Amino acid sequence: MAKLHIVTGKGGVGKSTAAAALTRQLLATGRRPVLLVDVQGSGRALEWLGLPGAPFENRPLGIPGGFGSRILPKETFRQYFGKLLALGNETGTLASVTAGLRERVAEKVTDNKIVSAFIDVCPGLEPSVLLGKLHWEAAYGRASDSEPWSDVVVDAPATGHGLALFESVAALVEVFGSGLIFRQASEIMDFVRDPERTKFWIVALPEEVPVRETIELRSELERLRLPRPSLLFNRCRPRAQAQGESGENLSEAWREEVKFERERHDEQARLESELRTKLDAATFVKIPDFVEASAKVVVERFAAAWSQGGST
Amino acid sequence: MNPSIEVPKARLVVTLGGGGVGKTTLSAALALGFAELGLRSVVLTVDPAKRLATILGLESLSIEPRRVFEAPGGGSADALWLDSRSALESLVRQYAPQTADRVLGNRLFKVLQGQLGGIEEYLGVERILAVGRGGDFDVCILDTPPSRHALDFLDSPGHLLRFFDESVLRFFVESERLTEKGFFSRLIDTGRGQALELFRGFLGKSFLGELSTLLTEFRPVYEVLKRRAREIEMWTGSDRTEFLLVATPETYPVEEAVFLSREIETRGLPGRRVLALNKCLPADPLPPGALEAALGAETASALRARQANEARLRAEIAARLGDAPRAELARASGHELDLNRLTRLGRQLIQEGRFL
Repeated sequence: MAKLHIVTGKGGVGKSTAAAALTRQLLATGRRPVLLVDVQGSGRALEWLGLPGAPFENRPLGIPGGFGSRILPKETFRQYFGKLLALGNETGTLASVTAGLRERVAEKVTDNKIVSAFIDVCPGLEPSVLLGKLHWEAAYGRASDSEPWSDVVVDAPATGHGLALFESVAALVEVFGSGLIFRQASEIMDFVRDPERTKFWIVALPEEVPVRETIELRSELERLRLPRPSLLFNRCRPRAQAQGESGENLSEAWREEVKFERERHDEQARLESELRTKLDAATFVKIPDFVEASAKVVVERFAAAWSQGGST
Repeated sequence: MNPSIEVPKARLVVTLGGGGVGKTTLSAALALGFAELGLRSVVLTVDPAKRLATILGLESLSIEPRRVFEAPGGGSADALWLDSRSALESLVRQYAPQTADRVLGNRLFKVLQGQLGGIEEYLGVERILAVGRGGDFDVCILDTPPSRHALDFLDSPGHLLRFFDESVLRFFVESERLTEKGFFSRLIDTGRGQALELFRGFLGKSFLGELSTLLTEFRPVYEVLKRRAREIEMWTGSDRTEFLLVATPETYPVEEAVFLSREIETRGLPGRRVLALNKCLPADPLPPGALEAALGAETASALRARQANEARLRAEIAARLGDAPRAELARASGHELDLNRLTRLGRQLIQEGRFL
């Protein structure tokens, strides 16, 4: 059974970069096969690892042993529906439905309009399907050479606090016991609540607002009884070593920047110590700020920094 | 044409961009800048950071506009915040008062609330429309949540409204009703009856029953929202609506802004597009060694690399966004914000973005 890694955080903190870097990093340490899944994104994390076109089926990344795909509710629903139907046959939940009918309905469900409307009108179905697919990959999924995944890395959606998926599915489990999808949902929640199977990575920036949001996210995880997260403190600045000069040769605009940069470093130190006490993170990794033109290079350097600082 | 359709005469500025680029700050700055010029402005933000509310002197969130600034020349700025968690609830109370308690008490409502994609944007634009119709404001500013789909509310009333247009919904609601009345046996040989049986096995019996109740009672809300959607379309489809695209001078945020700009174009929206390049370093050249002396070698070299990268992105923006007006806001000017600094930012934004 694979380990499921959920990379989360608010938009703009470097979540996709972190998910790509984690995939790279896992492969570099010899774990394989590793699957990177972009949930409701544009597929750029996949592209940075050499898989363009944002495919919905698992395809090899540009790194040996790595695979990737993108999931959207409606595309995934079609794949997942078939798997659930098979499961329903096994467990007898759908015993009253004849085999011929099952086929006809399965056909109907692959019709675009019906699937769209069905997903739209059923509260909780969309997150159940997305999370269900992730769980399915981690629990039973295999690479093309039929080797089970060692790790499944998830670039989680940026909407809200990033936990909306878990929230809806958890609410469904509480409210509805019956129905094949929701029985699955409770199995899924058990999986993501088990720290041996699921790891949460929160990406944060050394700035006031993202740090506030990270602390809120931490309490959301706790409320949903999800595992203790690890923190990736991204885009950390090096210590500004003032040498007494305030930049006499600099323009006024640059003198402002110098002042700003010095203050920002103090702020970073203050925020870091606050996060270390309040977050109780499983691991706390500091990633420097890379100024690079290409996202690919940033991912490489991110992964390298991670491997050096992973134990801190 | 529906006689109740009424579109605000006020200007609308829609702020768009990726996460963490400073949309909310610049939206508030713009409202203050307009006020300083004698206009009555209002800014709406969904789920804002507390810090900004504090800067504007607001103690708590409010769904009604609250005065945050009054300028000597008669201009003013108001702000209202929408809490995405309670927005849908207040909408139900407003538009379906009779059934509100039943809708809100439905066990599925909570699940539905957490799931509707694009609902924050939609509820935001619905709210600003309601405020704009009152005629109390000259300029309305809508700060959208960061999303690639931020523009979805423009061409459709959103996820929420598609429900009632789809035949499948009727399928669910009617099938459930018929089943309860004992007609199910007559339907069993039809496709509908068979499919329903399968969905029931799939979702559970109680789920389908509650879903059909929820959707039926929710209907009055949909009807109002649908009418609003037409008005929104007419407002945003006129040249009274402008788009403020916000990006930081970094690869991905710039890509995002270019993407959104294309989306506006694709949708054939006539509104003006303005780019705000936020958190820029000074573009003027650095004398050798000066930055190193002030900040140490490591920080200085990072800043130099950043400056070079920004120069490259500026060229790219010019190539991809053409002659859209561009405001460049210094990184340091966003530091330790207070009302004065925020107004100054707004002044610069209005001038460089040619908002007047």
